[in-house]
Amino acid sequence: METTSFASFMREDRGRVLSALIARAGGDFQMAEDALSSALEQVLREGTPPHASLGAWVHGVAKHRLVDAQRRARMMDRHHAALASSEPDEGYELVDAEAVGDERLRLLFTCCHPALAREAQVALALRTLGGLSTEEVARAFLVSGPTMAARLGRAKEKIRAAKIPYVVPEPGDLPERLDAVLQVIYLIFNEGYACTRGEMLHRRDLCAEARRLGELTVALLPDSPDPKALLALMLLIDARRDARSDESGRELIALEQQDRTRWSRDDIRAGDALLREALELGPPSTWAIEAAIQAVHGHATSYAETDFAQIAALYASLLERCDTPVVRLNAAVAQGRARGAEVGLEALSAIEGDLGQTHMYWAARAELLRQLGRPEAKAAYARAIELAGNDAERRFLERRAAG
Amino acid sequence: MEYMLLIQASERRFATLGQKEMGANMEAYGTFTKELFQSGRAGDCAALEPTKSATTVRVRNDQRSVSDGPYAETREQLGGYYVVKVETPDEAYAIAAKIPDATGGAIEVRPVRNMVTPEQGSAAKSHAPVGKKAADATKEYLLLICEDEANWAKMTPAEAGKIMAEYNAFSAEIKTSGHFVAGAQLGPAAAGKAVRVKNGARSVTDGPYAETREQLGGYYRVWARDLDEAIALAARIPAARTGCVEVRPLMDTSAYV
Repeated sequence: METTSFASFMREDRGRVLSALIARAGGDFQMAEDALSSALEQVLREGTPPHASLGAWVHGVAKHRLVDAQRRARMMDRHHAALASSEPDEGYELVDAEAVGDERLRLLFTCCHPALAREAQVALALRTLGGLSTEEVARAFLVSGPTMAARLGRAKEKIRAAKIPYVVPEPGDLPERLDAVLQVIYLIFNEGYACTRGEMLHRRDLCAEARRLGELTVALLPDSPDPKALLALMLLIDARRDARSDESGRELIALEQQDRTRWSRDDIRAGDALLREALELGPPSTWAIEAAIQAVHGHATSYAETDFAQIAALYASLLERCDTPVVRLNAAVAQGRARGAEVGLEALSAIEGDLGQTHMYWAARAELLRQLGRPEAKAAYARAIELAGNDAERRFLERRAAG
Repeated sequence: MEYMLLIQASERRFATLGQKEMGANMEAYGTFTKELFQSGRAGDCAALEPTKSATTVRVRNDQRSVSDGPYAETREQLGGYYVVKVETPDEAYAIAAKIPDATGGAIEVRPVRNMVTPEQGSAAKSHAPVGKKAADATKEYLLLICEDEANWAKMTPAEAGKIMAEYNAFSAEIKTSGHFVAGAQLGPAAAGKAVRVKNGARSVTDGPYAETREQLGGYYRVWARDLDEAIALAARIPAARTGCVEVRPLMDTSAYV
């Protein structure tokens, strides 16, 4: 078998086939995954018949494996032993991908069910929909393979034992549940964009996975504004990927110093279009406002010419919807840009109680103090460096402090 | 009088048991349960799935919040329960000491203040007092009501009466809808005892069993279609607004009893 078609199956069709198998297995993730991997093994060994598409053939073989496994499970259950013999043998068949329908939306909502811990939601989404191997998911979150395997195993066991339904939520629950899905996707994106741990500054693979999941959500829920706004937000931020670090990929370059010719115009255009579509579908959500803020940056020809008054106004409306310390920090920085560093510092002082133990707070404070030529800037940088968790952030702050 | 015997045992220890030991343990529970029913002193009883399948539900400002895991991280976890009908507290302690996990774990014995029973005339054919089951219900859940007992002490009689009326209305409604299996309101945690058996000798110590901010105040055992429906039921219990409700799926033990 050609390795290219196999790789493309793993990226393009695996999630679709797996979600259909989970539906058929009555929501049993493990049974479906086992059937799929055993089918893949067989197809790799034996190849596909002529004229059969790889995806359809793998799906057909996996379905057969699943029926076998279900039969075995029933045989083991002494209460159902009598039923086992009455199941017809279906034999291999080609599965028409179109006829199966898209089960991935159910899978997405099940992975992001609030009865699962957030870290399990993220891991399950990457494993089942993103098609990452357990090892890859483990590497993404810097934990060992066995630890991640155990985490995924617990999540799947909970889905089975507690009977977390394999369904798209009722319309009444949809807003709350959709928000959990979007949060998970954005968490994956953020972990890629600003790694919280380790040496690497940026993990493009995670950002790319988050974008794929975002695109999937948009495709599955075309009439909902929030998935579009989230995808717009991710595209507008990710447009800067080639400009925000140096060639080694290890040193951070601030927005101020970035070479804007290296920003992806395609991503900015696509982000703009998605944001417009989202705003046409409903009132602006927090996702849309955050995307709009990034769009203002995306349209500025230089840092100096950025419309900071507009950004400050957008942050003010974001604050009305979600008043969190981090939003207040960003709003204070924008105020500092729009109305002078003194105003920014004053706004910042109000949140020291909440964020005084984070490097973000001290870095923002140091920048404003430096703009005012105040000597306390040095101590603020030192505090920020001390609190930074990521090596690249730390070196970046050291350069700012020195420069 | 009725007592609820709560089986508190270390899940970690349980997980290390081999298949043979596990089977022997289940058989021991099966035998104990059969004898208890034959003696006519058994009420509702159930085994629970481990706490890793637990979900905790809270309602604050009309917003429901659902989180993974049990409401309290404790050394020993609730693995199941028996409600027994006895003449004296000593009889309840004697029964508790015969529960297999009294050796190795502990049995928390709590007085039942008020047993919620199925409507008259419904078929209580087995140990599980099953009422009219909703057509699409496929799984049983235990909804554990956890709240700070001090909340009740702070209420005026009129306020407490209003909450009790809410509980009664909820009970009546889930009986009609076919979700209700059983339920109980417990006496204060401080009135509880812990029964343990060590080297064949029984010890009974004064409660409360665990020092947690919120205490188990009662339970509903319900039929539901899936976890989402169980969560929706849990969110309607008054204590979800002031404390929390832990949702635990029941283990299928039909092969042993």
